[in-house]
Amino acid sequence: MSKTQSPHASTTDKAPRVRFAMVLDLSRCVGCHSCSVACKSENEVPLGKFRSWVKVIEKGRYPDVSRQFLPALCNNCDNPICNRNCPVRATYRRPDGIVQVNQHRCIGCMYCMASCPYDVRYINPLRKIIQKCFFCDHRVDHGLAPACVETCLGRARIFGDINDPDSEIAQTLATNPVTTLKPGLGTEPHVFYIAADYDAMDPTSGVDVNHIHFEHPF
Amino acid sequence: MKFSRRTFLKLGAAGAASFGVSRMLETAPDAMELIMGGDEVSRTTGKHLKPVPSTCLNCYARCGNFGFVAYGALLKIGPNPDHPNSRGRLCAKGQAGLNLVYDPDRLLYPLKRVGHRGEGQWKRISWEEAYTEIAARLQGVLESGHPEEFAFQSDRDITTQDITRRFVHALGSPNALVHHPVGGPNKQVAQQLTWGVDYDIPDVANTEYMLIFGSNPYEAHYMRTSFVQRITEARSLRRVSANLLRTKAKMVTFDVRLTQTSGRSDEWHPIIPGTDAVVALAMCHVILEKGLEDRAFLDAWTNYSPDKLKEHLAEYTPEAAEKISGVPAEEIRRIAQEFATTKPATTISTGGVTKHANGVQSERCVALLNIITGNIDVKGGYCLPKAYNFREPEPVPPVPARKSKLSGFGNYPLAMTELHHMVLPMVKRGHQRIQVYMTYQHNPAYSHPEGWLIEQILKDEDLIPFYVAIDSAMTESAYLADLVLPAPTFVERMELESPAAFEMVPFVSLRQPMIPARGESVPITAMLIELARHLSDDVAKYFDFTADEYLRHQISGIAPLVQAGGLDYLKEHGVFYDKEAEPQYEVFKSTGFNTPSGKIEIYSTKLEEQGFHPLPIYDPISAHKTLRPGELHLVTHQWMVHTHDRTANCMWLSEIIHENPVYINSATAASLNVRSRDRVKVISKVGEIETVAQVVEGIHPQVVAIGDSCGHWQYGRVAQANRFKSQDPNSKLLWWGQEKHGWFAEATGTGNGVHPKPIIPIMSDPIGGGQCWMDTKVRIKKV
Repeated sequence: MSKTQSPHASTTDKAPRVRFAMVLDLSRCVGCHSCSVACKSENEVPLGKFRSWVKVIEKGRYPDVSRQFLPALCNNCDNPICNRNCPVRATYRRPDGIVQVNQHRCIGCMYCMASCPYDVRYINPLRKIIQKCFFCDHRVDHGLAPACVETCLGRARIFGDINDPDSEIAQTLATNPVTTLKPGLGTEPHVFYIAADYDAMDPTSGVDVNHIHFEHPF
Repeated sequence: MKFSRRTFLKLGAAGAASFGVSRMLETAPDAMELIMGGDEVSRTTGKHLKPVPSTCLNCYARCGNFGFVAYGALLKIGPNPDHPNSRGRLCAKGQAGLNLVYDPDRLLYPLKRVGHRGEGQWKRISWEEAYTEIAARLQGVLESGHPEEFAFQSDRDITTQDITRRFVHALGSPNALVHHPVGGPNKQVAQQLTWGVDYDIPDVANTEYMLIFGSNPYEAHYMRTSFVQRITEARSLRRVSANLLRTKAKMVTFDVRLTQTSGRSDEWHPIIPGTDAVVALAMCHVILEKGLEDRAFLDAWTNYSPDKLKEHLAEYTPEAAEKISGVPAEEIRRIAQEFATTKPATTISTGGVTKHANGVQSERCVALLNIITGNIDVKGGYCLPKAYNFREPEPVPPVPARKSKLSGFGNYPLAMTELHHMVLPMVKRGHQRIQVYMTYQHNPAYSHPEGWLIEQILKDEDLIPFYVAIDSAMTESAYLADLVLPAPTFVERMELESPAAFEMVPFVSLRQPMIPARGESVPITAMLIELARHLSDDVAKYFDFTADEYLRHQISGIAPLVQAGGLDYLKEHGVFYDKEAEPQYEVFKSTGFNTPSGKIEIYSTKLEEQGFHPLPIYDPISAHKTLRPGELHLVTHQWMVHTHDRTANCMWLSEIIHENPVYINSATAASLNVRSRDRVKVISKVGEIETVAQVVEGIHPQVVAIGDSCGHWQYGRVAQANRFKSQDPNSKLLWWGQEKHGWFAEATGTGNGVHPKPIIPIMSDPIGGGQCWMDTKVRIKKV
């Protein structure tokens, strides 16, 4: 029923190339962490690690104060620095843009982790290999939306093929002001933000009011 | 059925309807090209997993969900896109239901206490032994001629409260102390007095203006997932192609602290706790003064004339309200004007308004805003709940003639449900002797005010000679029981639900087992049927059915569902609603309101009869008048990933929220010389707790706040933040326990936070009888 073709099919059929990406519309985010938990459940993410997280900060001076959210996950960049530094070529970019890690090749050297400017890779303490968000590629290959997109309470997450002009994400990107994290690094991230807050996007700025314990969970 | 946005756009609305896509889903602007819910593939094999449609109960919202099962194990819980309320979204709590099922410390077998109470020594027994022992005890109660000395208290049950009540009444006891109303009973009482039903459904998806008093739907609301998704829809700024999805509805929030909701509102107005009523009345004053009221509605559908109301409200000027609440008078004027001139508009109010000593009156004052602007039960307004009623199989045991103070409402004649927080204290004061006390999913030692007192009472074998706790986890209260019976989690039970519909078309949804109940746990319905059979025929005659037959009977009165296939239809689809039905608005025009006058009772004769003020008034809280220098208001709050006392054993949730500092305003903190991460004592008149301060800007300077749900001292090792080895490798990765993580644990002695309830005194609203959670005065002392 789904219109989404598997990336393997798309390359052989010579159809326009699929490029998956995500838009996070923060005017609809409620900071509920449904994405964080859905991801844990879907991908068996061990305790202490997150592939998806929502930073919640408070900004301003009483009584002019607001809360800002920043859901963060792997940006599945077009120019992934992490891939270049992998000595065993375990991490690679799929034709549809998803940056994957071959779990059988990974030696857990953490070079990619060190080079990722978004700090979204972690080493699985049980398996000693690198993991991160893969846009739920196992689901996407079967035409299902990623787990976080499916469950998002505010439908703040839009996922799809940006090369398909009819897709909701392509139309959304075409008609809304969007930004990405650290655009100056030339990584060409493919997680786009609508109505994101400058302070929330800055890893060193703002107080995470609910999580004073740690600065960043990844 | 699965459909994509693209097919939907191609077909157009009519085509989609002919495809069986419901009217409700047509309005959802969010179907992407990929399949959203209802399907799942294995990460390792790529095979599709078996979906079981069911209904969540990790909070009260009761969203539609799917369990995905392979080889007899539950692998994932996902959302059900066909559920008309939750529309394919499931919150963190719903997702983490998986943790409840596979909690290594879950109760799986009946346990009998062997040591002294509270020593924690147990012996595993068989169900037959358990039934025989309880039956013998209950027989003893019956033979003593005092059936009211058997009390059954339960919580987190919604539809099973009918069978619980049936069991208790069959034994001749009136003490069926079933489900405590959501958000406290004060709201229910206020709503019932005013418009004849006990809660409201603000139609936020279609509204243009949301005026929020003391409510935080982004994090906690009794219909949270269904509610918040519609709020975000009303506030979205997104365009898809050339179409702006919607114009943005305005959201204005009065709250004592900056919550996720107030922090994302267009305006946040900090307010002194318990003074919402005076602001609401001042707004009504302004609306009537400027002639912005809906006079036709007031004349036709209320029992009090607008002119007399204007007279009554004369004293509530914005200036007077400013003095009491701290909200500037000109802001009150402006917001009143905006609220009255924007149509449709609605208020949203919950715990922050009602968990006070003036809860009932305050809630009536907020409701008055909707009434005088004519926003009652209109599209985008303040709507009546629409739900189905279930039927009980005959014969139904008569309501026992015997009276008991526990269930008799005593000094609170207008209360609609038993005063849960008063039950055990009343036993201690000798108002009712108890021989057998049973609880189901109820944990008073943790969740009630002055919990230390409750613990003391439960430990006292003279007061509670025999205590049976039915639960799926070893709660703080079950730990003090004589018999602990394992109940399945919501994932393994079969129950019916009919929550109020946000699409204004009533529906029924089924909770069904995704996997067989683990261990020897037995659902409450089957347990009570079996227990009745162990008692005399007089009791057993009311339980002449199986659990399945009972459910079939419950829905037998809903004709369209029976026609569609009844229980079998629900087992297949999980949810039923009439797909042809139109949304029901303004139903009162045909049925009237369920009040003595058939109209909205601005003037309540019931209140007058009991000696209360019949009109909505601001009733100052006596405790507040005596606020001395250095004293602050303590409020508690819910977290976005926890449900009161029930979810701390979900590791994915506790990992996100496991510590609860006391939030304090920066100016107040400076005057007390307190900085973030300083260890402080929070002292009330009934006790003190030690925790860590977190200095923030987003809280009223006269208020401190502590989150709920943390600080368990039982409830399994995950809830206590203890690292351990088990079959689940995650249990040894638990990182927020005291040995591993830092400063919060160092300060408080635990990694799982502190528990604020022991320092909250037992206190009730004189009208509704609800606990005053937000009326505690505290001092902060740096350690």
